[in-house]
Amino acid sequence: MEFQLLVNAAPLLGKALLQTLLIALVSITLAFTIGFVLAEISILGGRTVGFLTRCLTEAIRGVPLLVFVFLVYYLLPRMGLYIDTMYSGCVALSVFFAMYVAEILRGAFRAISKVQSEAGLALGMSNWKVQTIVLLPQALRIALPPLMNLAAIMIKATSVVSIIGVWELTLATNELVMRTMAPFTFFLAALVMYFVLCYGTVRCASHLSKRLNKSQRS
Amino acid sequence: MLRPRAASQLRGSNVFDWSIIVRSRADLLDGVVLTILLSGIAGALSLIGGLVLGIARIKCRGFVGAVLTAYVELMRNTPLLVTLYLIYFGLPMIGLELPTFGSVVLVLVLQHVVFVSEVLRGGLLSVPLSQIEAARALGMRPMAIFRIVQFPQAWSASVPALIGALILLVHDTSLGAAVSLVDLTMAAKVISQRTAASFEPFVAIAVCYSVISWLLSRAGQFFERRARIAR
Repeated sequence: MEFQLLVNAAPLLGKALLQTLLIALVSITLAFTIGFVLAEISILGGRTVGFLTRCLTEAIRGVPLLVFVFLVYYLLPRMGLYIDTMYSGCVALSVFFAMYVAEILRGAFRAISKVQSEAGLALGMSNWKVQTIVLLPQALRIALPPLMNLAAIMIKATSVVSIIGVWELTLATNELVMRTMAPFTFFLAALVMYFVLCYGTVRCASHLSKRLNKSQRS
Repeated sequence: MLRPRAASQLRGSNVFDWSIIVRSRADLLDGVVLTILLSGIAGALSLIGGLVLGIARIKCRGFVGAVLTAYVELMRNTPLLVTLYLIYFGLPMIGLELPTFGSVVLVLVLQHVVFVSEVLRGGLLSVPLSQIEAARALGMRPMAIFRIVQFPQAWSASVPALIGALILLVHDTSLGAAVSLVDLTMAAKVISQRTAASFEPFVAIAVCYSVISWLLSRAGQFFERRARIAR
């Protein structure tokens, strides 16, 4: 372990870490939004729409993330969208994980007893109101811990977009290793950084789920 | 300015060219075989290792237990790709020359041992303590208790999650392409470099991976039904 090398590379690694964080934030936000819309569509839409969204979810979940990243990377220019590689990676990550978000939210909505929405309808609320005032807060409470875990998984998954050439922590580390021939130093440093990010998120998730359960019981 | 390019795009490359896939089916088949081989070997090894690690995490307390927990947390919270790079580029530096296939298997096992152990640990802990006490009261030996009472129930409880882990493993093998292992994903890269068709090979391998995942989940449902008899 050459400590001096690490000190010299610290600014670069810091910049790469920020880039990873940026990619993670953008994709997590997008994934949660798309996933939420998808879940609502499949719940509120009829049987056909539900079936179609299920098919989409299953199709995308059957494919490895790396392959999906490549697909999006090559598909977007074909559709006439010439965007930066970083955004293409973000789009791939967010669409891929949106399917998981949708699945979690759908499960959360299903976990709420049907009596709740029936009571809401009996009180004369519109479908929309039942959805937003009665069901959504409860569903979010159920779904928040698994969604946080998914966020941690997404932070880990940002490393995959380095393969299509997005400059972030993994690619930066790789370049540093090629230049300095010190694989242990830099890859271990990268591992530590990823670990801190993901473990922090996971701890937040477990803390959150404990608190939410506490409020549920009383 | 933009119009002509868009039009030529439509005429030129927007058509899905099936012939590329048909022509390079040998490469794709080789890739499928290697991916299945890789997942088979890594899956079997991580199942065995995961069982050992899962039992060790239940039995071991104190220092060893803390080390095992630390390992599990470390592996769960770091990206597989970086671990792969660390092993692939790091081991030769300390004089251990592994072939690419070997190092990819090693990394996959290192990572998936953890997932499998978590699943099996949950399964083992889900067996009520009263049953184990009852077995002990009947005078069964510890090995017999594990083999006859504890393990079958734990197994049938964890089959669905194990199949999920196996599908994840198959998907993770695609990262082998990052270190130029000629699996399914690398086959697509090779084809796209040879034919200059970027999109078609990736659609083809996406379909391959989907079919493999679907078959595995169907097999999982079958095994789940069979394993339920034990309950």
